[in-house]
Amino acid sequence: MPDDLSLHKIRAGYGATVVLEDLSFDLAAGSKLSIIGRNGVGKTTLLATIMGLTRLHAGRIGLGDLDVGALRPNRRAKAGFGFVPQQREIFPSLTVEENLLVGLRPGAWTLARVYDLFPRLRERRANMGNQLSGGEQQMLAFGRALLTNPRVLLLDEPFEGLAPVIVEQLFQALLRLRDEDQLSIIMVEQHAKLALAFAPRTMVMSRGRIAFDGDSGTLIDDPARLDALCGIGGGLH
Amino acid sequence: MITAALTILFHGLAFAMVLYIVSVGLGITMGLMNFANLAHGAFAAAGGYVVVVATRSLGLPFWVALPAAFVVVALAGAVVERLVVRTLYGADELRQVLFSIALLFMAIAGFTAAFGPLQQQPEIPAALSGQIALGDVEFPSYRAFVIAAGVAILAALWLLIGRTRIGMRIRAAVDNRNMAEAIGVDTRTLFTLTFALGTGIAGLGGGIGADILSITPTYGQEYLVLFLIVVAVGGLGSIFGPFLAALCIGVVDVAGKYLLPEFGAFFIYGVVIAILLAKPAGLFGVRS
Repeated sequence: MPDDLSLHKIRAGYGATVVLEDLSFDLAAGSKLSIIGRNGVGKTTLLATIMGLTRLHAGRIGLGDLDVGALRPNRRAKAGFGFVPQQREIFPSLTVEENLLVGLRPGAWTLARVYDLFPRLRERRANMGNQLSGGEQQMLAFGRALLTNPRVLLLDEPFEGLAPVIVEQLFQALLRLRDEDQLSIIMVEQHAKLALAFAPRTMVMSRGRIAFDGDSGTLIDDPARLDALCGIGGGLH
Repeated sequence: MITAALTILFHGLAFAMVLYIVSVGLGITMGLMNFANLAHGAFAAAGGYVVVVATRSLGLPFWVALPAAFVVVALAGAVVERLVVRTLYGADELRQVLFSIALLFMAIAGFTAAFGPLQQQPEIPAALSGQIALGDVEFPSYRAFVIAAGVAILAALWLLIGRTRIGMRIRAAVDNRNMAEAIGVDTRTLFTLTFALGTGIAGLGGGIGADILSITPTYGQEYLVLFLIVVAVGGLGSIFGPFLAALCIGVVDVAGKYLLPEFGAFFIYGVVIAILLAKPAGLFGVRS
């Protein structure tokens, strides 16, 4: 399969501060990638950089043949990136259904399909965005990104701060997405166990660089190496 | 007694509606773009001058002059946003305030050069220059029209912001600009449109309200405090908040000046202080 997303020698951060240093990787269309690593190594910054929400000092970000590095976030969204941010960032003054529809672009994902994936959102459709539980907000953030009909879905710690039963529910939905949909997914995740189970390929980041990029199986079979890469608290929970 | 109450209420409402029509756009642009536009009143004055020129010099009907005021001022607003205001988003407040005050002074000089320092009155259609009776009391029918116009603009804005796709996008961008961008909302274009809409409505307000807030070159400076009060009390980024705020301020101001004229504007500032102490983000503030 051709490479869909390609990052080449990325140097990026916030203002003059550089968080990501000389970072390169490619992702084939339709493939899934998990990114793990300690807190503060630049995982969130990486997704924000792909989305255009940080300052790109150097390097190229390509989506297909398109160089998106100079585009504003809305153009990147239209080019095919769907973003589910860590804080979910639901629009509080929009209803659940408006949150889903505000970024709607035509494609395989429809409101009915999102409601089918997350029936809870259908029940809550008339509620305001700020009247939802954490799990519902996360479902809504997923649904909102899916309805932009992206080619590449960027998930930033989708399970953070959620009760185990909700995590399990969301993870099942995500597996369904992984298996039934052609879209590429990059998931940044603190739970190494979930991350390794989700994607066949895992990247470990360390201090703004890539410390490991390969088969998730390699790390599952070698907990000591995983621990060394991710450090205390970052290993298998 | 009842006559006095009715008179106060009627004129208070008319004053409130002018305040609302002129100020609502200021609140929307401040809420959406975090831009403190102290020149907002100059756009309202420009609308007033459009109506004056259209009805007096060009002999156009009042009902043509009003939409013209909206269109001309909205276009001027769009140009100013594209050329200058855009560069000041995210700049510190001092730069925004200095720029917008400078724009206000330039507008005052420009209006004085073009129209002279004296007050200008638009030509009002015959249908609105009579009186209407409310019980035993007679009121100028033009002011009844002003009240109806204020309510109509509130309704139109409510439909636009609450029920249309562009309104949905404006609300999303007020809530969280980066996230709106990240799902594909072109917030720059949205900002230009919103700025044009806000200034255009102010222009309409300047034209409609010329009978109550008279059109002089210094309009934007003289009434600036009132517009800012409406927005601060109503809450930034809200449609209903400034409406309620304008109602309180309009009626209280007219009542105070009618009943205790020696205290002048004391009452509205008293009410403002009380409301802001109780609700610092305003009555309906999306943001403080």
